[in-house]
Amino acid sequence: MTASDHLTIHEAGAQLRSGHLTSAELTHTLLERSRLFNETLGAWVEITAEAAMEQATRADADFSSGVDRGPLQGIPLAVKDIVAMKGAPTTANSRVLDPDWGSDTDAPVVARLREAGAVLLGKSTTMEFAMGEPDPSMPFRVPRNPWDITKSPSGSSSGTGIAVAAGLALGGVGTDTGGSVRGPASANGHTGLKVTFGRVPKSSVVPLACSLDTVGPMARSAHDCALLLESMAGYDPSDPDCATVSVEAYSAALDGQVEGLRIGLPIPYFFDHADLDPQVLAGVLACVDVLVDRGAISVNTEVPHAHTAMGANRVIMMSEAYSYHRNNLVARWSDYGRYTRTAIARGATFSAGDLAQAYRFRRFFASEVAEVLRCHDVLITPTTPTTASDAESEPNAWLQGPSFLGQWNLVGLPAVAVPAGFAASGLPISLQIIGRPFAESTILKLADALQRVTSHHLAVPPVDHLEVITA
Amino acid sequence: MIEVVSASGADDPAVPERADDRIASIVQALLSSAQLEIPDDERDEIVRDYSLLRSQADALFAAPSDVQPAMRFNPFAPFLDRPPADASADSAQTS
Repeated sequence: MTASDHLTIHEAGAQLRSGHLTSAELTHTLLERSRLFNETLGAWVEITAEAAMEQATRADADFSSGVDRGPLQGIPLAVKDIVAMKGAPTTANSRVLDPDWGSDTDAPVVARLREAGAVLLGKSTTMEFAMGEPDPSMPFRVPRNPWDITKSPSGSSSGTGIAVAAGLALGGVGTDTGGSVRGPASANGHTGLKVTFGRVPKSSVVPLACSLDTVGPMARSAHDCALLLESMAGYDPSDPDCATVSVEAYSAALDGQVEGLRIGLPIPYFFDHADLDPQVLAGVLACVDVLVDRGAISVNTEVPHAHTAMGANRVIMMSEAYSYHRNNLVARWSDYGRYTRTAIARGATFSAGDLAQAYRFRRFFASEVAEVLRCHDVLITPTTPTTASDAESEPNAWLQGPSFLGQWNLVGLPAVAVPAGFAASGLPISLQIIGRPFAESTILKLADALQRVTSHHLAVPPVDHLEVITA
Repeated sequence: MIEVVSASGADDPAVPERADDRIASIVQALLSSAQLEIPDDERDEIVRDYSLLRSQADALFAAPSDVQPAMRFNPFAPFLDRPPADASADSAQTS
């Protein structure tokens, strides 16, 4: 491990501008670590080393000639492998996706990162079509949690999460339909932002569920997520769902000041569920206390019908996913991964009436949540009820337990997962801050305020002690 | 409905097996209507979770819901005095 492995984007930017570090040095270090650990951790589907070094060299040349494209110039990033990126195939970790899908195309979000001078290291592992589970029989590496490789890194943005946590990338792009940014952020111990629906264009991103999908940043700190979001966010006409709401200077709003901000703690379901690990509960409440000590106001509240909302999110997600995949499921069942095809096929067991009712419930639930958020600036919940699950746990076990994530996809709200300590097992604990529509600045402000006085997000998993497996 | 089958056989030890068979038949019919020819062991996985997912879908009909569904859902309308023209949702993405 070298000093540059685990820099935040903010720290690396300062070193790049002071001349203490070049992007080429930083990129080379991360590429070497990726080569060393990828067979073990399964973070990458494709590492675009040559192109990344060219981009890094160009960033350094720009710095030398006085050209500064902003805080992402020269910063090495990961791109989830359902997002189109020039120079690398998009596989969606599947044998089914047309190999030409997205070829020679940058998704708008990737184009923006490239324009900002970022170095794109490659395509990071996803659960197949952002829906399945790792299947060792498929021609893709199985992603592993860098804190304990017997544990799941969660999904579906597994690879970006692993890369950020293990020091293989300083940040990256994930997608979140029912928790796929926040789940990996929780399991791997870093920060992940599920943006407001429509905040970031999702064109040239393989869809999972079109009315729920979002593209968001993943990084070690809230500050880094703010820097990434400033480049990623904004209207693009190629996405009919994309909002024209102006992009804020998210990082500039991070002043550590939280006095008077009203935090709602929705106790029923989110804090009193029988499956909630007491260590997770204690970690989350300790962080809330930190924010209260800094002047925030914490009040117990309730989000009605939270369990039903989880179900509604599943009905919509599975139905919309099924609609996208139906023809390929019929024609190419065996080409899908073992657990992906059964997961998606479950969507065929819902009726048109079920889906229509889920849409009707969604409108009602949005009104209920809006009412709660009239009294509170944000809500805070545990991100997940437990720490990372066993990697070998029963496939599709996630259907059985509670989820604190999909409710916010259902109504399009922004939510950031923030490290909140560690359990006795050494695995990360995470809390989630939910805000009003397009209030990313508020939730990032609270997350950043917490990270100014805690160091959970800076902890480094013990990957350097891993036995290295070569391909 | 699955609940009817289960309730009617509450005192009959033979009924749970019949209920499982009934669920399997329902799932097989749904998958067949979708033209999905699935190996038995994989169909059994879907059967296993069917009651759980069915109960979650049924719960939506027991919960309050908006009585005036719109053609285009705007999740943010309740948060604003008037619906924004710039934050629409619910149209399919093509790729």
